[in-house]
Amino acid sequence: MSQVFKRQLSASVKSCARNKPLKFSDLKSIQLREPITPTHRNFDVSPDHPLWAFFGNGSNSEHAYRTSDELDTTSRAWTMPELRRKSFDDLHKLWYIILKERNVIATERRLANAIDNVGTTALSDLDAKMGLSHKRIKQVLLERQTAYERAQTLTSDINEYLANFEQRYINAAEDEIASENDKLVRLQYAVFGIQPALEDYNLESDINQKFVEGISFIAKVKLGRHLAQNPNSSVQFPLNGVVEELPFLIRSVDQAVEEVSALRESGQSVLLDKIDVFPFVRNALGKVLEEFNQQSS
Amino acid sequence: MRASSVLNLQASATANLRRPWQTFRDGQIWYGLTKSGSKRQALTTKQGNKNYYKGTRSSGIGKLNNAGNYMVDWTKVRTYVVPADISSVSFKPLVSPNSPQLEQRYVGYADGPKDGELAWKNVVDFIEYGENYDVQDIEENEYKEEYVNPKIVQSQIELPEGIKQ
Amino acid sequence: MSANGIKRRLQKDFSRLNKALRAQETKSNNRMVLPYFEQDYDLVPKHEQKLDFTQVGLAEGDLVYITKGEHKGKISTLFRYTPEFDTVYLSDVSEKKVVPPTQWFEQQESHLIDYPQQIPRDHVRLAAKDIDSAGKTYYIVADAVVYKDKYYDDRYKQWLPKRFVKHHESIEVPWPGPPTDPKDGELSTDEQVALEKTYEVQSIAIPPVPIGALDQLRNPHSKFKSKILTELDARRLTAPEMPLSKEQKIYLAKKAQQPPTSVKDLTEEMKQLIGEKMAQHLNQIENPYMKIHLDALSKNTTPEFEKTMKLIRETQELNKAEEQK
Repeated sequence: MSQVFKRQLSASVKSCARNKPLKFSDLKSIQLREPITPTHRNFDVSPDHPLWAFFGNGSNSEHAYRTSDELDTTSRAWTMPELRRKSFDDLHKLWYIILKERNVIATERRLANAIDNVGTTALSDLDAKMGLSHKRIKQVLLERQTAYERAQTLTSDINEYLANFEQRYINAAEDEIASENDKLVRLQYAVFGIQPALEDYNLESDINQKFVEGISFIAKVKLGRHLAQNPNSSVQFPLNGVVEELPFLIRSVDQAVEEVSALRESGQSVLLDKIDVFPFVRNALGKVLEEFNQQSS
Repeated sequence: MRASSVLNLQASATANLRRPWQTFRDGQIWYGLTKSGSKRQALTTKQGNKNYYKGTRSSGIGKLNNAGNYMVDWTKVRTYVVPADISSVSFKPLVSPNSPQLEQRYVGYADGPKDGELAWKNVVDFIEYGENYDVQDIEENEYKEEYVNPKIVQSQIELPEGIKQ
Repeated sequence: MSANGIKRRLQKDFSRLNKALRAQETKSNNRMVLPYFEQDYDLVPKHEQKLDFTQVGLAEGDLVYITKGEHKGKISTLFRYTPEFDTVYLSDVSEKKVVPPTQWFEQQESHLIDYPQQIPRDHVRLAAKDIDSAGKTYYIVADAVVYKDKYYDDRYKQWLPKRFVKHHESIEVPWPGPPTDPKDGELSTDEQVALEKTYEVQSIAIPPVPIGALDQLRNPHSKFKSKILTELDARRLTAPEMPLSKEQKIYLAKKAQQPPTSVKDLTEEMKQLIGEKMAQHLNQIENPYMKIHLDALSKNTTPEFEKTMKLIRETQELNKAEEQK
């Protein structure tokens, strides 16, 4: 004789215990139906079911995998020159389109091996082409990144161009100034990363060292032209840091000059410490953006 | 012919199942080709002693806090940034075999598309001429795109006649 | 099982073996195979396979001349190249093979079938057919081909190099053209979409790849690409300066007090003396080869000589400047 030792808490015994007797309804009234054979043919699956995306022919699929004559064997992989012409967004989309198809093929290859043990060379070849396209997408993006990083180091070329541009802008005739202004807008985007439209600024990520350098370049160029035309203007060089330079980015030259002279008179124009520059620009631009949004709404 | 090769001619599912456990006359074992082989491989999850936990590189994405709850650190969780409008794009995974393969040439740029000088030249062109500054009619040029360094073109012009670079 | 999973790692990888072991492997594989199905040619590992027909030098539809084996001297048309074995199949070169009944195709009645024979790529040479001025056809066989400038081939839809017979580079052997017109499959992107341009460089301030995506392209922890040295690294990598001994310090102090060495220009007398001495010595030499050798030597200038001359020039200039003062 042996006693079974149960390890359990006495509280659970109480809570699990049935306190009402079992009751059965009238068994005769229960209707039995034909048993349903458990095969997939007895179930209707909606053609919109997202899992169909894992099959080669989508919701029209008859089999778990495609044979070699159902596969597309003629198409070729994307080449590097083709991919070099595509934007990042396009490449991003293409990456996922290829990934989706590769996923289907991986499933099919696995099933073909497991179910029927048939050859999967056609599937593998197709996958190899898409794998090649994937590698090339990465390669193209890396090429761009490398070129971008190398262009940063050409400081002497960049400074020379900026100096030339400044001279051209200051000496431009009245009829040329419109096109020069367009160029300046493109330049601020191309060299300093300042977006042309105010609403495109991302205040969290865009404000950086280059942005601040851009502000001072724009101020230098615009005030330079202003002084060349009005030598006796109320504002003269040098500008006192980013506080006096920022108005030239946001407002027209005349308004900016007025603002700066007002700042100087009221004694609010101060040279900021390095650590205060970014927060100042961020706050000031945030305020301008708010005003802009109010006006537009 | 080897003694074991005969089976290839009479191989069938049942014959395969009925094959004996001893070796062939030529010494070939039934299952596999050799009994020995390379053994210096990484351990699998089923090997090692009780302290060996191999994992699948999918755990360790957070920590237990004092209350015993698992707090997930979302910076450690794998994320996939899928573009929003993927179904409406006309891209397909591969390219039509009837689509011409483009040829790109970089003359005077040592590192081709990776060249910083080319990137800077393009940026200058963008500033001076605006968007679509370098549109080449590829059909006209028999599917060839060329990027020529202006310095090379200049030095060719400056050379006296009859002298080639 | 994943493609890079444990199964893959434990399997024998042919491409990792060296050439001698590959032959051994083929031999051991053939041990269990019927003679008719023995693999005659070594598998080419994947990274050595030639996947492009310009790498092979032969395209489908080319005429080839067989240089070795049973069919030596035959000229035939190539209809397939197999990169896995580096072999070709020719249109009218076949062999009899025995097929076990399990592998019979429909309506097959005999164990024996005609099967195209595999011929190694090394055993065939490119051939070409031409008609001479008398209207008679003749063949050219190229032992090797060379590629020169590229042209756009509308049949292949790509830029191809022109193919010439090596050492007879006036003879061009054009590519034969693809055997069939390929049709678009269901995975084919249209030409217009594939060639559309949606990117141009516009800024060197905004990175072309989002910063979050860059880690997927480059290994952020790569030990080979750390560009910024921390102060600690720099201190570790620079050797400390050796302290000077007492004697060294004394020597250096003495040396610092001495005036810098200056080289004076040779006077005419000195030049005369040196010239005479050298002429006297040279006149004793009678061996013509030695004379030629010395003549050649006299034209060479050693870096030491250059250095001395430079020093002389500098001191001369210094002297001149002092005189002017």
